[in-house]
Amino acid sequence: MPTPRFTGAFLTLAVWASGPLIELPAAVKPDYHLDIDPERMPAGYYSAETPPVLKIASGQTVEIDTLALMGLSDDNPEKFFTDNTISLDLPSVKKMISVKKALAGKGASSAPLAGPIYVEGAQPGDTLEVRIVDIKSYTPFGINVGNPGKGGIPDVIPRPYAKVMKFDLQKNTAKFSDTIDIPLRQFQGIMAVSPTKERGKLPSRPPYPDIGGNMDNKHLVKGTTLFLPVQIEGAGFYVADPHAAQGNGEVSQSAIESSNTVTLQFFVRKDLHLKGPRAETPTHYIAMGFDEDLDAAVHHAIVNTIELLKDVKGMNFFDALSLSSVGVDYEVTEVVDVTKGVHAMIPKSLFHDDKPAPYWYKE
Amino acid sequence: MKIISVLLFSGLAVWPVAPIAAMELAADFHVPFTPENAIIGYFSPTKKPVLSIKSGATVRIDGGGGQRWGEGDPNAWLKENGVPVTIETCAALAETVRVLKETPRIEGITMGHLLVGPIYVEDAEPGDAIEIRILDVTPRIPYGTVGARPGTGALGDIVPRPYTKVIPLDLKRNAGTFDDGVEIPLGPFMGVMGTCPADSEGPNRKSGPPGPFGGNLDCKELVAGSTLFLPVFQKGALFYTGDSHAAQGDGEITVNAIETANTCILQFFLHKGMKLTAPRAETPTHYLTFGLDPDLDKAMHLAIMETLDFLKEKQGYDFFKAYTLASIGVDFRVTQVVDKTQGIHGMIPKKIFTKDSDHYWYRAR
Repeated sequence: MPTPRFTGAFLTLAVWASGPLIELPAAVKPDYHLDIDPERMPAGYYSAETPPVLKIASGQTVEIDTLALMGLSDDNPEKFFTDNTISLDLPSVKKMISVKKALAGKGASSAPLAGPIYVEGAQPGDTLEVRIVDIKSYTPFGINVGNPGKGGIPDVIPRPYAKVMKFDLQKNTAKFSDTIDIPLRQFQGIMAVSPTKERGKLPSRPPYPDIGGNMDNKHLVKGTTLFLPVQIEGAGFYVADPHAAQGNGEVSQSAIESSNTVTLQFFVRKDLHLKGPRAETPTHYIAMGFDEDLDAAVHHAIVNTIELLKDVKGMNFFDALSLSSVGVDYEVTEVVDVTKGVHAMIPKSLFHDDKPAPYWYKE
Repeated sequence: MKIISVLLFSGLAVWPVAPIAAMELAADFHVPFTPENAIIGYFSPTKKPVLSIKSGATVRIDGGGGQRWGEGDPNAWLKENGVPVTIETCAALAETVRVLKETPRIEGITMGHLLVGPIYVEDAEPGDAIEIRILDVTPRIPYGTVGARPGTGALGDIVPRPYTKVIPLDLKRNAGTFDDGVEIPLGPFMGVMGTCPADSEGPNRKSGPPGPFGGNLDCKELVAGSTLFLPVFQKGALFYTGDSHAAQGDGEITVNAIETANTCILQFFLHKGMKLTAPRAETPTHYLTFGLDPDLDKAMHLAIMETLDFLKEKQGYDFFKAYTLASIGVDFRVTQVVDKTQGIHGMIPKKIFTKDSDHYWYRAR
């Protein structure tokens, strides 16, 4: 994997306007590495009361291994690998087996959560900016599954199935069949901040319109920035659910589920006050809408697009609305996580009077 | 001088200096926008065909549009909005005025899409499909409009008052000037392309909601270079088109694209016995499937099922292989949420099929 290429000695945060100047070295070296520790892994929920696994300062970078354990059984996790002719000697495979065994019977999900990470200085009302500096596949294989009663056509699935795909990490593709290669675009299905204490333990399966979570948004790849509204002191950031590739919709209930090593850089933004998640890529701003009803999710996504265009571009309601109709694309994020998602892709190229956008990542 | 006065007048509009480029591609037939060729707001199985063609024929079809002046005086509205043409100097607008005045209406449907048709495709029977290759789509007027109204569109509950924005089109640069700082890349397409619906849909099916016959799909991918496949429900297929758009986002959330007047060149092919349950499309880079339903969740369900059917047919896959591929390699997008029957389309990238050779008819220019 190439290291992100940074241009110039200074990188500015001018994206959301009036951001501070941040100085970065030519390549980011993680300040911390967060390994998988089954003893300190929250079992499938977000809570303000879970003690942090790491405390960092704003601006620091953390490298995190996140595991996808889908397909592995509690009593015989080795079987998955032998069945699929995957060597048990791979260090990543050894790790997956040991973590699966340690988590057996503890009710942990197949995509255990990493976190929470405490970011010093973050207060409710601030925004946590999460720069996705890098995401690499941790294993050269992944799995896609579906089950009756779940996914985008729950009434049609006749039986559970699982398909294992091997990767060509040189070409960055997954071998689906002799005639089909899927281009890999690694991302994390789950990124969240902690909810307030009053909300107790929030299950990690659905995404939430405020704290994020299992957004399963395929655009959150390397080079993208996620903005999450801080609810509690220290933010309490979680990451999990590594994916190697996914289509918009994630219709079978899963992506190519595959372990990733992700490098994230965190900034506390005192100048930004958001109600819910937003994202930015080198080419687009992304607004999101979540709801159990897809019609309502579109509605929320449009309202959030208009808010974003007001905040970032100073547009009035009507201009933002009509621009959303003629220049913004609404895509189905996922329809399989109980709470469904629609996101708006707002091309930066629409805004031709901008000075060259000083975005931190260059493709 | 005219341009300068326009700039002074409108403040932000930047009008193209060059005239709108005339269509230069040749076509076997030309269907002008006349009161006889037009029909407003519905599909009729009994309207006399404007043309009868054999499979393979190319047809240039002129569309109307731009009539945001409502009940008022068109020239006054054009002047007020700084548009540098008049009804007298712009044929497409003159045709639109005449069509609005003279095209017969039926009880209950006085307004709606400005449509042209039907085109009768010889030998087409119910149970067949027609392939429509979109050779070209070009705006005929130097502007488009986008608007919103309380009670319509995806935010009908929030929009406080009616609103219209006039967007100058610069065809040389292929851009619509939204304001000083914002330009929309143009992707002209016909919002409505359909075969005449089945009798079960009623005798004068309104053109608003799309259906298995296509119609008001409002799919922004159906630009020049794309191909649409539609099932045939009436003898001769009876193809209609209209609802000229210069650009649109996926979703068409206000109920308006950049609404304009296009001329399009379409080539028709008849596929005997090609049974389709819904429209399909193909672009140089993707195959498209559609799901249509008043409920967006159901539209999504249908789009997934259509995608699985397509992958099963194309690759000979079983359910599981098709379903897996749909989850990890196919993108589902919101076509539109504003036409009563809502749409989701699946975008199946051609590039994932590593052994396919490319015989597609269109090459990006």
